Amino acid sequence: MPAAGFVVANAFYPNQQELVMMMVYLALAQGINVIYGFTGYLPFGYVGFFGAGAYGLALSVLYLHVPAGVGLLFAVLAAVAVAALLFPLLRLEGVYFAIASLAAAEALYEVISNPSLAAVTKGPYGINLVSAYNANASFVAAVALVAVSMGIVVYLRTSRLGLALRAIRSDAVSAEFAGINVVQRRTVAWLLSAAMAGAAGGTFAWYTSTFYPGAVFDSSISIFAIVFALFGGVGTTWGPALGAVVLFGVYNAVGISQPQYFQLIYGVLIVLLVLFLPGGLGSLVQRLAPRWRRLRRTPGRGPEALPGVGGPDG
Amino acid sequence: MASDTAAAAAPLLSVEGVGSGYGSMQVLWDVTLHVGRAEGVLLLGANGAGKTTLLRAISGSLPLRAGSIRLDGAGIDRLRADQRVRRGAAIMTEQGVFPTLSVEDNLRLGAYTLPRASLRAVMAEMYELFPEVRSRRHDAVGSLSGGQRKLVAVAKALMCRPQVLIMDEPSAGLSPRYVKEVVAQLARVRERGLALLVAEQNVAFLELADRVYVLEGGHVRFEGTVDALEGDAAVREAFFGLGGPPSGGAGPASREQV
Repeated sequence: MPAAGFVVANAFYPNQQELVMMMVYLALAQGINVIYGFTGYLPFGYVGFFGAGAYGLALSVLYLHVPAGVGLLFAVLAAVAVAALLFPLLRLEGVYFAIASLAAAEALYEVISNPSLAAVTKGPYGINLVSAYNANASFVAAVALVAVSMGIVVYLRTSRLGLALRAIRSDAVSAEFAGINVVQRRTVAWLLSAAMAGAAGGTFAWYTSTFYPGAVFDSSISIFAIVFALFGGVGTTWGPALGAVVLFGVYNAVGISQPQYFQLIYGVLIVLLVLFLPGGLGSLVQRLAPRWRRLRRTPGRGPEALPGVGGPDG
Repeated sequence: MASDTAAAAAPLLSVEGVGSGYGSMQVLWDVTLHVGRAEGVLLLGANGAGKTTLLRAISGSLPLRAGSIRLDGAGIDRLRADQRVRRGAAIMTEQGVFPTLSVEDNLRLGAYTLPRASLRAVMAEMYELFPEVRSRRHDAVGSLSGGQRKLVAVAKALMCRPQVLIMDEPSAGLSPRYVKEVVAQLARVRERGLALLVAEQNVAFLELADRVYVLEGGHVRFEGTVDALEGDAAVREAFFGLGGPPSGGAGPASREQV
């Protein structure tokens, strides 16, 4: 559905690049959703997978001469390979994990942008993929990216894997006692999330076709994706998508022309959110839905409608 | 086969000479304990006696330093906790539930090791056993009262159709009404051949017990039937605060009251 929305928007909205970026951020926010919303690991260095994906596509197109569409597979593979290399990080928790992932992304950036690797990665001089540039094809790829990332989250919301992950997030020890292989399930979520960022990075690289390493390893990409996901609400299907569309929309409407107002609006929005809706926009729906159901079901109060036993936050 | 008859005669769960602990502190010393098929075993002991540590060692969240643990004749002390659950040893920790998830999701997780096809039947069975749980099935467990939460925890633990259910202080934080309810439901489930190993301080659970172990300072201090326990004045005094001669007014652990 959101994928279709972007196709329609493309017909009316003149700035296609903005739409592509919005879709890329939507996928990144959903990727954050998969790893943070379902397992509780918050990767500040999430951009590392994005950059790995961008270079995965670029290098496979440049050296293996594959079509860019196939290059997207290499983008996913590159990100998954980096994620596999970073398995030991999953032993860390909370802040330590966040910082370590940030450091890992920085390290990857330093390696790729190193001038002595210029023969392979083009080092700090950046990538030029003009020969593979195809705005329409890469736009279609971005639409597919949105559809697939939404699909993954819907799958996690409804499948046994998702249930297991939510259990692990709630209480890892009890999850083990329920018969869940905690390490293995976490690993699956980690690789899935990395694959989503890799695909997003590959799509971005294809659409822009020329970029410097600093642009695809910019840590503000991580921050944006995390803020979008949290704003919309992690652990939900629609939250991160909503967050990406609303906040990226605000960013484009105000942020580029008047950065100071943009920061003010962002700041106010985030403060309001933390104060009144810590579960994100998506939690608003979740909170109201049972009340609505109850209102329709019983005008007189049944034993279930006792005050104080309403929401899960009670 | 000969091995089959041997396995049938052997206890379902056998803990042999287990030692365990945390860091430089050894908590359990040479603990030996057996739970037979469909047998109810109560593990008594004061706070700090090592009850929870022993259950953690059996369930696989704490490594052994000595001894061995066998389930159904096979050594399980090298298995991860989730693998031990798959072998039929269900654990109910003191918390026992996922508070952020709904009641139904909790039950579904309890049946995580079962084939998917049997999920509905087992869930219907649990709802029949615990109607109170059924009426709250869409609510987050965190929004339930402590007593209801415990019922969910018991139902969840039973979802995987275990051979033995290992429980850590099921009465903790429960009102007498819910203690009664939990004991009554466990008694019903036991009739179907479930073995129980319950660490408790609440005497109401003696009703479920065929045999009792008493831990003190990480050692097994007493092992025997409930009757033998009630006759052991020293143990009664130490663990139930029921001093005086057995014929005194306070009476032996008052099983009748429950």
